[in-house]
Amino acid sequence: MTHPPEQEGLDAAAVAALYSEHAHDLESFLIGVLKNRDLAVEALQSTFSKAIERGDTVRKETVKGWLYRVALNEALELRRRNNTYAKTLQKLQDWQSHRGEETPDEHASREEASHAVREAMKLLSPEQRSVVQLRIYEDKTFATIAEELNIPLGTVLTRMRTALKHLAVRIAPEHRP
Amino acid sequence: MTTSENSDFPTPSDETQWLAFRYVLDEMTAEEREAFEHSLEDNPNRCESVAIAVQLVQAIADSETSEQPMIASSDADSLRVRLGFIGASLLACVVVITLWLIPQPRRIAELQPQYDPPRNSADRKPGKPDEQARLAQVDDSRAGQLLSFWTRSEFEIEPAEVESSDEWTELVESVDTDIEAGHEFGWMLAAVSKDAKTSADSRSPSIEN
Repeated sequence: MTHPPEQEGLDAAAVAALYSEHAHDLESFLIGVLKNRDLAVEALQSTFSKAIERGDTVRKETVKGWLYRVALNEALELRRRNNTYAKTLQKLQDWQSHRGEETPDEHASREEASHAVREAMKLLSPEQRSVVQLRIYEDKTFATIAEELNIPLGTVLTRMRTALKHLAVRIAPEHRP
Repeated sequence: MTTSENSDFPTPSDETQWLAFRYVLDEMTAEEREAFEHSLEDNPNRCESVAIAVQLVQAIADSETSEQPMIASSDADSLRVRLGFIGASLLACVVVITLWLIPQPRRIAELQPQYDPPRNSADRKPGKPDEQARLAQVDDSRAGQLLSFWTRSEFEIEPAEVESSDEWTELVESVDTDIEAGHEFGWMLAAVSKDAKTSADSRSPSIEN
């Protein structure tokens, strides 16, 4: 079936529904790829622009995968254009200072996750907690942590992996590995 | 590789999630990162694991930053209490000093520099006539007395200061007596007369010129 040009693409309600359902995870994914929130937001907008243009050609059950694929392509293209691939976690943590557009729901959700993590951190062993703090708070590499704590790198990785597994369960039970 | 991937979007496996964390934390070699990104293209499950990793790292980072303001806030409260205590102490000191000073005007008057008119002719204006100096010296004692009294009465706010009132009455009475005697202000009349004469003499040449 063919449509006149002005009727191609998704209608506003369908795009809004897609955005509501997937935008948050897509933005997180794009931050993970780009390590930069501003670029991630830009890539997210491009992704949904593509969704408006061509989203009607995608089956509903595959739309999530399609969105991720489009988002990845947009992110890689943006990264090539800007030639900015941050090497450090510091850039990744720049999101902290860019939360002006956060909705009340997003803020509440973030606060809830933050609280859950704080509580979960208390349940970690001191060794695991130490590795998490050194890696996330102090932005030290696993190799540096191993050297500082005078333990094998494998031990550091194991502690971190175990700790993250526990923390991930606390903040997103539905994503339990 | 995990078996739980790509089967109608199952939850990410432990291994996939760990890879995603390492990717997000930039703990991969360039080759590993490239391979991982390549695998993202046709693997939405891995993409989702990246999103989860980012959200978890963000939550952990938030859990640190949201604790710091609590500490800062408690420090600020403590500082505010201390500053308030210091301020209250200073205010109390000011009040005590003020209360100590107000009822004792005589003490303040004693602390004021006493009227000390110039005694030497060198201190006077050059060219001042001896007669005028003599008349001024005659009045020094009276002027000093009046000035001293005025200085003291400036601070006598309390009506309870009966002593000052008595002094004032005595002084007024003595002045009245002098006026009635007709000789107290003779010096002043003489000084004015002399001054007028001197001024007239000094102006005369300039008028002629």
